[in-house]
Amino acid sequence: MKANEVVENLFRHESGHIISRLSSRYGMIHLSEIEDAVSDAMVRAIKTWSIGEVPDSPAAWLYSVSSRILIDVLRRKKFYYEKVAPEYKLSYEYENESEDQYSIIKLMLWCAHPDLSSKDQLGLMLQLVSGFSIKEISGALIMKPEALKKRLQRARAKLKSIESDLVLPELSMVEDRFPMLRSAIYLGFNEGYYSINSENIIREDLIYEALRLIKLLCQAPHQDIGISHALMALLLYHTSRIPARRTEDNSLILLENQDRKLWDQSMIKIANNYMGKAMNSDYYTPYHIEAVIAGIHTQTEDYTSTDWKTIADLYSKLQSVDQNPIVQLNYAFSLLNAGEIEKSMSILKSKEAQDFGVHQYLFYSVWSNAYEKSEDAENQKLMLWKAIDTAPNEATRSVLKDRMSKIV
Amino acid sequence: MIFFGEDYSKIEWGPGEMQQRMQNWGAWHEKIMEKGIFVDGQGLLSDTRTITSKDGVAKDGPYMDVKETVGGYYVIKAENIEAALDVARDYPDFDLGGGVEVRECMSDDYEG
Repeated sequence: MKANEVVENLFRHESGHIISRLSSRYGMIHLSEIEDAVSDAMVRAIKTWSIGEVPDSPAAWLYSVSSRILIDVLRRKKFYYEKVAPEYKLSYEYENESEDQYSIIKLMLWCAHPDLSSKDQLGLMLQLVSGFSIKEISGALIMKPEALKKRLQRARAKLKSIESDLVLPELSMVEDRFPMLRSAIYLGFNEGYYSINSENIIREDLIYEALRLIKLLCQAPHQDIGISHALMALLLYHTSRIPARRTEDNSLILLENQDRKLWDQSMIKIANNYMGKAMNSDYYTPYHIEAVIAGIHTQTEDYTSTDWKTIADLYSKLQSVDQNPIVQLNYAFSLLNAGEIEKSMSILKSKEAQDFGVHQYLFYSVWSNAYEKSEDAENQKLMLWKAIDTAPNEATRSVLKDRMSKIV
Repeated sequence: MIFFGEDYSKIEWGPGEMQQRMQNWGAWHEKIMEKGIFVDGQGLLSDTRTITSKDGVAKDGPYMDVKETVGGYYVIKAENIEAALDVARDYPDFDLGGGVEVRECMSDDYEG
C-alpha cells in the first residue's frame, strides 16, 4: 500500500481508539503522555510510510508504536518516581494485556462527565475520541481557538482533580451518563446540520463524526439502548436528506423545494431498521418523536402529500415534554399546514422574537407563512422583511429573498 | 536534498492534519519514484545527540544552535542542480516554513 492509499480518516479514528485503549490500561492520569505518544507515533508514520511501504495493518502499527513510546516514557517516569521522588505513586501496570472492546465507549462516557457543560463534553470528545485538532474543533463549534483551548484545559483540570475520574469508568457504573453522552452527540450533529454563523451551510465533517459516535454507542450494551437507537434513526433520517439540501453554490434548499429523488434511500432503510428497534423498547422519548416526524417526511413522496395532521399531533406531544421554543415554532408551522390557522397564530402570539435568539428569522418566517395562509399579503411581506433582516447568513437570506420575489 | 524546517513533534496538529501531511509526502515520493531518479532517502527523528571529540561526552541537541532541524534527506539522480531544484519545488513542507538545501554529491564523474 502507498501512503496516499491509506483509508480516509484512519489517523483520526485510530487516534481515539488508541487513546481509549491506552488510557483504559494505564489510567487517565497519564492522558497527556498518552496523547503525546500517539502524536509521536503519527510523526513516525509520516516519516516512514511516505518513503517506504505502509504496513499491512496500519492501525496495529500505530497502536504498537504508540504503546512502545508510552512505555518508554512511563519507565523513565517510574525511575523518577521510585528513585527521585518516591512519595509519588504510579498507577500503571504492564501485565493486563487483553483488549477492552468497550474502551472507546468508556472514553466517551469519561468525557460526558456530569460536572461539565454539554459544550465542554462535546469539545473533549471531539478532541480525544474523534481526533479533531483545536483548530478543527474551533472551526466546527465557531469559537476562537484560544478560548476553546483554555476551556478544554479547564475541563481537563477539573476531571483530573476528581480521583474517581483518573480511570476510565465501567459502563455499568455510569448508566446515568448515557443521556448526557447522547445530548453531546446531538449537539455536535446540530452544530453541523444547522450551522448558524457559517456561510458554509452544512459542515459535513461534524455531521458524519456525530453519526460515527452514535453508531459506536449503539454497539455497546446499555440499559436504555432503545433511546440511543431512536437518536441514531433521527440522525440518519436528517443525514439522508443532505444531498438535496443545498445547491451547487452552497445555498440552502428548504424541505418544500428539495428534490426527493436525491435523498439517500439506503440510509433511510438503515434508519427504519433502528427506528423499529427504538419503538420496540420500553422508552418513548423526545428523540423517538423527532425521529418519527423525520421518518414521516422521508417516507412521503412529495411535499404536498405530507401528513401534516399527524405531524402536528406529534409536535403537540413533543412540546409538552421539550420546552425548546423551536419545537413550539415547528408545532405552529405544522398546524398551519394542517389548516389550523387560528390555533397556530395563537401559539405565535404567545412568543416574542427574543425567545429565539439567533433563530429569530425562523419566528418571522413562520409568521409570514401564517399571514400567507390568511391571505394578508401586506403582513406576509412585512414579516418576511423582518426575517431577511435577522437572517444569520447570506445563504439563508437568499432563500428568504427568493420567497419574497414570489409574492404577488 | 536536505530537508530542514520546524521539528514535527513541536507542531500542534491533529491526527487528520498529520494524515494529510503523510499523504502529501507520499504523493511527492511517488512522483520521484516514477521518474526513476530516487537513489536513497530517510526521514530523521528529532531526538538528536552531538559529539565533538573522541573522548567528549555526547550532548543533547544539534551541533549548531538553530531553530530549524534537519528532518530528512533524499539522494536523487539529476542532470544538474537546476534539474534537482525542479524536483525540490514540489517539496510538501514549504507551508511549515521549511525548505530544501540542494547540494551535489561528490563523485568520480570528472575522472570518468
